[in-house]
Amino acid sequence: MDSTHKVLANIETVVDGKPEAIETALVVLLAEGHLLIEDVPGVGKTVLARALARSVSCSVRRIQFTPDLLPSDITGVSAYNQQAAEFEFKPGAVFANIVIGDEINRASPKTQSALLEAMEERQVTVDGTTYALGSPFTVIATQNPYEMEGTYALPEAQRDRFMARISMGYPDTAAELAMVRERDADNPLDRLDAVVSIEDVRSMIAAARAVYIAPAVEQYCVDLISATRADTALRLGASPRATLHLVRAAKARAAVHGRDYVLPDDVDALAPVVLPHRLIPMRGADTPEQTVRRILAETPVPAGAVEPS
Amino acid sequence: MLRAESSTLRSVRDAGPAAAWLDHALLATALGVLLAGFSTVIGGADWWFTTFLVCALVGLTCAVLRAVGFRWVAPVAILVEFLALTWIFVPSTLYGGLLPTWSSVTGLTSLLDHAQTIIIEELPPVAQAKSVVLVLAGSFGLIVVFADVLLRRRRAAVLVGILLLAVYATPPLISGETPPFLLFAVPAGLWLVLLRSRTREASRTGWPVRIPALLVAMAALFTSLVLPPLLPDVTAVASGWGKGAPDVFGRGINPMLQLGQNLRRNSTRVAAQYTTNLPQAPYLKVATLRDFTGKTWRPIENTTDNDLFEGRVGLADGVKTSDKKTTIRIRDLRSSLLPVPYPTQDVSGLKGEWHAQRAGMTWRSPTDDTRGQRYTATSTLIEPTAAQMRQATTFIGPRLAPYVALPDKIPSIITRTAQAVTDGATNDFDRVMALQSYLRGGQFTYSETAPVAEDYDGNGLDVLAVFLQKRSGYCVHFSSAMAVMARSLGIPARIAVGYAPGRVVSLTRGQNLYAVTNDDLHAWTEIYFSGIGWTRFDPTPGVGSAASFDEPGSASQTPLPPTQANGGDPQGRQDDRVDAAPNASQDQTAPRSAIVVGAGILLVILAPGAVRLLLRRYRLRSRSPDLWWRELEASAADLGVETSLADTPRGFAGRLSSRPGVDTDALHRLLDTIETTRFARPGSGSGASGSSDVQAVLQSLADGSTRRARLRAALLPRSLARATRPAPRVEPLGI
Repeated sequence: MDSTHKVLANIETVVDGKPEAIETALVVLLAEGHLLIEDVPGVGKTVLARALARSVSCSVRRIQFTPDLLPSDITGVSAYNQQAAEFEFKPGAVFANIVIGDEINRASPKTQSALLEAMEERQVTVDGTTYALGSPFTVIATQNPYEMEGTYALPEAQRDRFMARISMGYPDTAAELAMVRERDADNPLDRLDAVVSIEDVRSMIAAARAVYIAPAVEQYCVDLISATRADTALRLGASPRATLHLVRAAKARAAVHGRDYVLPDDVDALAPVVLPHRLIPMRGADTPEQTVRRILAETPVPAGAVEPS
Repeated sequence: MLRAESSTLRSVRDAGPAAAWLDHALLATALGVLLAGFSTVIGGADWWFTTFLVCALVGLTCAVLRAVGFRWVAPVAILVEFLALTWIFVPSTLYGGLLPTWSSVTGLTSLLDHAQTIIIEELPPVAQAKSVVLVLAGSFGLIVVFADVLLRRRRAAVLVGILLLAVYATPPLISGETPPFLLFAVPAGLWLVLLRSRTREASRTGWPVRIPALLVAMAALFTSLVLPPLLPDVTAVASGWGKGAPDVFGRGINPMLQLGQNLRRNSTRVAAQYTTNLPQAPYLKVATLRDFTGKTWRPIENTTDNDLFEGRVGLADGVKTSDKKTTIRIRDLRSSLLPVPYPTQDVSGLKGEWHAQRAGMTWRSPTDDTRGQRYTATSTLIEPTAAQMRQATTFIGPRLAPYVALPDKIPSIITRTAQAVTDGATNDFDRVMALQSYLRGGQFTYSETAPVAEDYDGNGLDVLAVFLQKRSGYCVHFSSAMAVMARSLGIPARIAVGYAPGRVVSLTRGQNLYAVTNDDLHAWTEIYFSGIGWTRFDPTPGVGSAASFDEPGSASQTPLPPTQANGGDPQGRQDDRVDAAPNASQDQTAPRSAIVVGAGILLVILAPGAVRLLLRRYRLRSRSPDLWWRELEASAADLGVETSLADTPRGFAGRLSSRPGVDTDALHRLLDTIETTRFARPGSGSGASGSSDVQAVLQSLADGSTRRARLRAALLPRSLARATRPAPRVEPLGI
């Protein structure tokens, strides 16, 4: 059983009935992206995030975002050490391999941006000194839909930095029943062990980077992205960063599936989680999710060009 | 909501107002060029401007309506066309000079009716009568509307090519003349531009014309090159389509000298019945052909330029004449030309407006036709003696000059034969008699089919040369040969078209009642003798009321040389044989044209399947998994499996494997191969699958389908239509 399957199986023992969500989370980890889990409270957002973190033996920090959280709580502070008579950097919560940001939209925009800058730059600058973050570095943020009370909406620019956004959705009846029985007594999350080492994760990331993407599939990705920009149901199309994220995620998915080349199917599977949170619909038009699905159904898949030599 | 709707429909709507203007500009140019091709059908030039004006007006309407996003473009465009036609063609009926009234409608329909008669009767190029121009302008306007409808749909834009092709093919079908190459090339080029402007934003390869479009173009080229030479039989069938063959040939007389078609028709209809006090049953003449172009004979077009040599005019003293009456009742004949004996001085009892044609002494109507007419023709029986005829010396003045005119180059066999046959004759009469008995004598045989079978049907000079060698043909060939040979000897000659005397059907009030049918349609030669006038000679063996000249010239007269009388008689009296000949020939030609048409239809039906089969063989024989997969997709589409260009191979295979009976093992091997070929790093091997897997999947797919689906896949492969869609798909040529 290879590492990816071990991780997937491990998480599945605690998150019932959500294999796609689990796979997406792993893909985002291997593609060195950040994941946004958006859903109503209590459907297992945090459980998924924590289960992924626990399955990999690496440093994990969890930040509960609240309105009074300060940027320095995230990045760290320089504090004066009286014994050493000098300023000493106390790393914030972001210095970990996997950072779980719970209810990220409850914090003030200023605090949010501190995290999001760290996500993009993979480094933190405090008092003129730059500190590199760990590798791998992945933020798994959860948020409630922003219509809910006491939330600040994430600006588009910041949403764009998340590679994928998933929703958990309610479990089906069978999964919910199983959950009731298993978690009656204890929390299975506590029994979850790390199944892969951080070295394993690093080599998996390297393997994902090395996955081959054919020109035809690259073309397909670009076609999809430009279709979002031309679509009349959308006010804002996808950014070039979205193209990069889509390609990187597709490569990681190919690696998770044990392939060393990307299929258009990878792109098809990921576009609905990689694209919609970056798009802004026209008033009264379809939701971005519907639009992306329509674009997928309309955009021709390139046939490829490689004649056998 | 509106926005969402428009975005989902976007793929079928046109690209925008700018595209509509471009489309209609291209279309108008193409139609303008194609319109020029109709100069072989209509004389003059004004009709071009009128028709183009209507085209442009309708096109402009469509473009403007498209530009403002109006929905009901076609009905409004047709309304505009109707208004334009009323303004141009029936301005006097308009209310306030603008609004059409009911009488505008009736005015247009009566013009259309008249056009129908002209189209039936006249030889192209027809005079540019208002009514014919109306038909042309009306049709072209409708073509613009139709093309506009086609252009709105992406897939149908290709079909505009077929529309243009039909327009292109019409004049050659009518006139039989091969149009210049430019007439094909320019509209074809414009059509390609039209397609390109339509697919440019869609096709990344910049290669807009896909295989089916190319096939259409090739078929078009093929048709234009191959069809015109096949004309004689095909036209008869083709121009009958949509109109009903009997309308064209059954009740009308087509004086185009395409008598063969009329004679070869299957049904026999009684055209007219008559009683007469002429001593012999008369030939009933409807038209006179004077001008010989070298390709065909044409009627005397200008009635004012006149020959005053008809009937009683200029008769020499001593020629015996008497007036006779013939009462004719039209049965099944629709024509604006009246069958009358020659020379008819007066006609009584006609309904409607009829005018005597001074040249040729026939009668025609500008507005009415023969249906239901019953009339009495008073004709002059001129009975010269053979001696009088021998004495007649004809001086060729300017009025007679057109009757001896011949094209510059005539095949030497014609002049040579004329010289040889008339060798030793000392006067025009003897020469003409010699020509007649040469043609009527036993050396030539009557056949309606031989010319068609041996490909020399018609009445051009080259045809006559062949005819003189083969010595087999029908009235067209005989009368034309005699007229041309007489002219080559300097004797004025022309051709009369009409009915041979027909047969007695009953005896009423002491008079024979004769009936003529369309089988009696005939052409004969008239020769001019000074002091006697135009005299009928019938060189066709076995047709007509026998001997050499019996009708205006009193053939039964004793002074006639016995040899000549004998020369005519034995042939002419064989009425049975005459009847047998057309019947036999009908039996032969009818199946022949049926076979041609049947084979053509079969070819059209089988063509898509054949194209598909060739494509399939090509793809399966290739070593390219890419082509194998395309074949699989195409075959599945043919069998009714839903396919989409947005399918990934895996998605498509998933759908396919859910079909009953599909060989999933082979399918998965094939899927593996195609994915590696298309998407894996080049050189990483192309999977284990071979073409045997394709065969296996295709076979299992077909086996799992219903018989009906398989039949449809074989005859009407949907994948062909699917491939015509200009898809933004990266082709193998591309990346």
